[in-house]
Amino acid sequence: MSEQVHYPDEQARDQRGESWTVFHAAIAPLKREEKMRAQRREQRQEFWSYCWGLVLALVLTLVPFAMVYWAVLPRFSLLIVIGVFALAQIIVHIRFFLRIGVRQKREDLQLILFSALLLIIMVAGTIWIMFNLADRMSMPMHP
Amino acid sequence: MSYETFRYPGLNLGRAHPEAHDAAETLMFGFWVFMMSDAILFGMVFGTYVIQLDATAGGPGPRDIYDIKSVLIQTMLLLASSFTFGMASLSNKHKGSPPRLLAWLVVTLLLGVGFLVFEVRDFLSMFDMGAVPSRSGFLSAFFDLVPLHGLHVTCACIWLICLVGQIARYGLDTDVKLSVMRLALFWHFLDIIWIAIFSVVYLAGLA
Amino acid sequence: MNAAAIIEQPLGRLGMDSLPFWEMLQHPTEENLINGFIGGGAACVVVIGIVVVCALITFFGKWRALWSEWLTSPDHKKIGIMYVVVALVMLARAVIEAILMRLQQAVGLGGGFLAPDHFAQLFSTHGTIMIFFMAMPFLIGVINYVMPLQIGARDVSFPVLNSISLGLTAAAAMLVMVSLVIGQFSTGGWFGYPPYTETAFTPDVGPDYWIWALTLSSVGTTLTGINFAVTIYKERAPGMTLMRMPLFTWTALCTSILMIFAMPPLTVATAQLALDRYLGFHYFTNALGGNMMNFMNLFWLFGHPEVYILILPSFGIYSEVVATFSGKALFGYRSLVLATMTIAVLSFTVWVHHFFTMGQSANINAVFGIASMLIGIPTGVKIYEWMATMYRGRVRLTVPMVYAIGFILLFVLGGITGIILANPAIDYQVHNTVFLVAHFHNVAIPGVLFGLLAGYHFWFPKVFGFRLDERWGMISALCWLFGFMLAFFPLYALGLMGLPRRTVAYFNPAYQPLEIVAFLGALLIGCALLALLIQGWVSIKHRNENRVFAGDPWDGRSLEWAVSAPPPEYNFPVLPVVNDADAFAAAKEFGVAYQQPDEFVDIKLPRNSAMGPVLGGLGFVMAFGLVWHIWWLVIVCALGTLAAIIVRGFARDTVQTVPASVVKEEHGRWLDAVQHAAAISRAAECDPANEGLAEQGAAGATS
Repeated sequence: MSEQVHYPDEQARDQRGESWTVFHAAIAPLKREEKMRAQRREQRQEFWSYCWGLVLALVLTLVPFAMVYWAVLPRFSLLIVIGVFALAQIIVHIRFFLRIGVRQKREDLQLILFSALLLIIMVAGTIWIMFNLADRMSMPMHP
Repeated sequence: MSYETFRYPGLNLGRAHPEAHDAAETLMFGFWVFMMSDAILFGMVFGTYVIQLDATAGGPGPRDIYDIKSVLIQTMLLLASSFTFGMASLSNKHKGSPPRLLAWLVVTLLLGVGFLVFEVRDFLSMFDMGAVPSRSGFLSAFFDLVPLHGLHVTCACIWLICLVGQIARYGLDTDVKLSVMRLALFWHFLDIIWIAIFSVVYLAGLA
Repeated sequence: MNAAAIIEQPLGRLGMDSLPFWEMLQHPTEENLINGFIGGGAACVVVIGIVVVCALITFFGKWRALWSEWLTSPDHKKIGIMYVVVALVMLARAVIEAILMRLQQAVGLGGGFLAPDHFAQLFSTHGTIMIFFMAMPFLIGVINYVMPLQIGARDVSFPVLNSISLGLTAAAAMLVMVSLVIGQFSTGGWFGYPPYTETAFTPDVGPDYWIWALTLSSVGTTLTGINFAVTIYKERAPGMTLMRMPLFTWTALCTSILMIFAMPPLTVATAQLALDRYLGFHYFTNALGGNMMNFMNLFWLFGHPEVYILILPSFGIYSEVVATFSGKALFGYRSLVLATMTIAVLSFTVWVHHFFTMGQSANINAVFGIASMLIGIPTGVKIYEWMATMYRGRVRLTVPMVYAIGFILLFVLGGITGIILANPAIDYQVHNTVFLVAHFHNVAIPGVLFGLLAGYHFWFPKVFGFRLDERWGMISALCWLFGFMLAFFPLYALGLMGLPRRTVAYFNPAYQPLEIVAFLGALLIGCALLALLIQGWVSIKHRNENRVFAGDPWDGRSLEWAVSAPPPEYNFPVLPVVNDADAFAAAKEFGVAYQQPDEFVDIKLPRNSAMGPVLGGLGFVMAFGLVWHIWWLVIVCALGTLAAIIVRGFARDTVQTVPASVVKEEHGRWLDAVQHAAAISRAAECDPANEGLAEQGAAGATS
């Protein structure tokens, strides 16, 4: 159907590997029935992805909460556990809710990683410098 | 080259509108970039909070003011709202029917408002204890970080209400669909920020 | 801040004493009279300027045209021009302030004529304006105009957002201008360090003006950065891979990335300072657990990448200028790209060198000192590559090229003093002296300003369709170059002699001779600005002799030269297909430039939107209300902003169509002009014979 239509920007998409013509050509031979089935399968997959995300997020929230609530570990170990669980949960959210995968041909993942790099430089740098300063100036700043 | 790699996940505008898909790619990427900029903003506020942690100036500290049960309720509300927004995204993508989408959006909105109600209640009880932002450096930093997230959630709720209005006015047109997708990103992003707040501010503060 | 206060004081803190000449009238001492006349005079210039502009627009009946063709236009080209206009107006103000400061210092032995407070306002506004309201709008304007053309796009990704960014930036600039007329500006320097800028020490409106001007402009700039980055990622013409992009576009991309990630720390810093001042928070106060050192940390987390936000586009402009006026492809394109990227990433790792003396340990200083020195490597790579580009090229000493060569000579000096300052041990000795002032002007003026002026001369014919007058341009360029040297080289010596920066007066007579030399330099820079004005006047007068409608006056290499001058609203009748770096140069070489496309299609363009001026206006009034504590105004504007955004969400009919027939007709007219134009050799470049068509295959570069 629509693959006959000429789009002026088509070549732009070709060059960026996002060709819709290729996509139409790939999907056209499929019968309508099969297409419907593929779509339903995809929908089911996505639904379960959100469910998995919810379950994992719940576990990753409740476990550190319980550990803090009943203070099962010394403080320093608790902090490490909290940090690890938080990181895991952030990754779960990015994977299952924001639906960022490693196999996608999109700039999103690169963008997130680059932002994370800068965020780490800026936040870790801030904390390093300011705590060092506080140490040397005897300021009340120790967690 | 599979079906999935060609299409922005969460988007189904019908295959006859590749131009709309291109515009969608640009819009979504732009929104991602905005969110990352926002993430840096939050990062700096987190940094401020961490270095001000002990600057209580003799005033109340984390253990005196945090109500861990209320915080857990807020966390659950926000997590649930993230899930219901996921369901809304699915109806946005696969079902062309506005009622189902509307229903999920309204549920999400209620959960979001519920979160805000609990949060404001917490703040008010802190004020009652004398824990106001002008009391100490620590409280200033706390009332910068957590309400900033709350403000974002408020904006997201206003956006949601506007979206409901747009659906009522125009039905599920391309603009609405794209708007739902961006708001979904924003909503999940705010949930991630909340994970950081929950862990860094509340759990670490009480550990 | 309650209801009663709103009714009792509907104008907040605003009163008669907010006028600049009030103090002079109340206490007519000699000092007050002089400062009152200077301040009042400056205010009058602003007021008269606005009145004259409004009168002229009314006289020519252009209000409607101004609104529908300029202010509400989402066209990246018009928005770019408006940015540059804002920048040039602000440049004039900041240069005049600089001359005034130099004059004060020249006669400042034991006193001078300016009050300390007035002097402090001068250096604060000078710095704030030059960074935020001259350099930033200028470079954003140039990128706005040139980048979409270079990548073969119709517009930026989000044209209305672009207009909003302009509105916010213009609102911020207006706020700084208003501070001349009502109240006073900050006296805390362009980085407004607390606790000095806290309410306890500066209760007046100055820091508030500074805070809101910076906040508005940083929001606008962040949005611009997002817009540019997405445009470069998503709107490139077919075949324009990343490694085929012109170098200016590369630098635009890196600058946008820096804007996206470096602006938030500034927003946080100014917002926290505002919370301190307005609601009694304790981020940076002396008492109750405030930590003013964190402000420095946050500010320079923004401030250092900002330096590269400013300078990278200029590097890009120099790359285009040097390649074009040498008639050669850029030497070492790949390594230049790599160097640009390296600088962009490294710029996030050096911010501590702005406060080596804060009190952190020597280890931290060593880390950041070494990181700072590392930036010298990619920058050095660039310098060599520009020189290698010129080597055995057909070099023409046009105005942009004079700026570029002057830049290479002077910037190396600035860079070397930067390496010196990156050594914490030396920094301890010379920090807070005018040595530092000399250093950063030595990188900022040749690095940023000369680059932008070179770009102004380079692309002016593309933008307005006629070349600028070469003679006055040369006079201006030489005045800039020598004025700069006279004004700032003495400051190196003065700094080593121990003169602190920002001193209104000094008591060591040894300083005075060099101060007078510096003042002469400032005067020469004033002449340069004057020459620039005259050049504009002369060029407009003789515009019909210097038309270059065919669009390629300099034998350009990238796609912006492949369209008419000025370009049509939709930039390209049919999006170009790119097979090579230096796309247009390659097309000319293979004889495939100036083609008639097989078919034309309707072109969709964004409709005009009032969002830019509306949000800009609301932002300006809201900031004004915040500065003067006029709370009802703030609330009204905040609600107005929210309403405007919501209403915009309901807008659907946002696209207009240019019919294929119109495109075909316009394109045909241009191709006709190209066919009738005489191709000129590079020797006749600055001749009226130059109609914008370059002779091909003529004797040129040797490699």
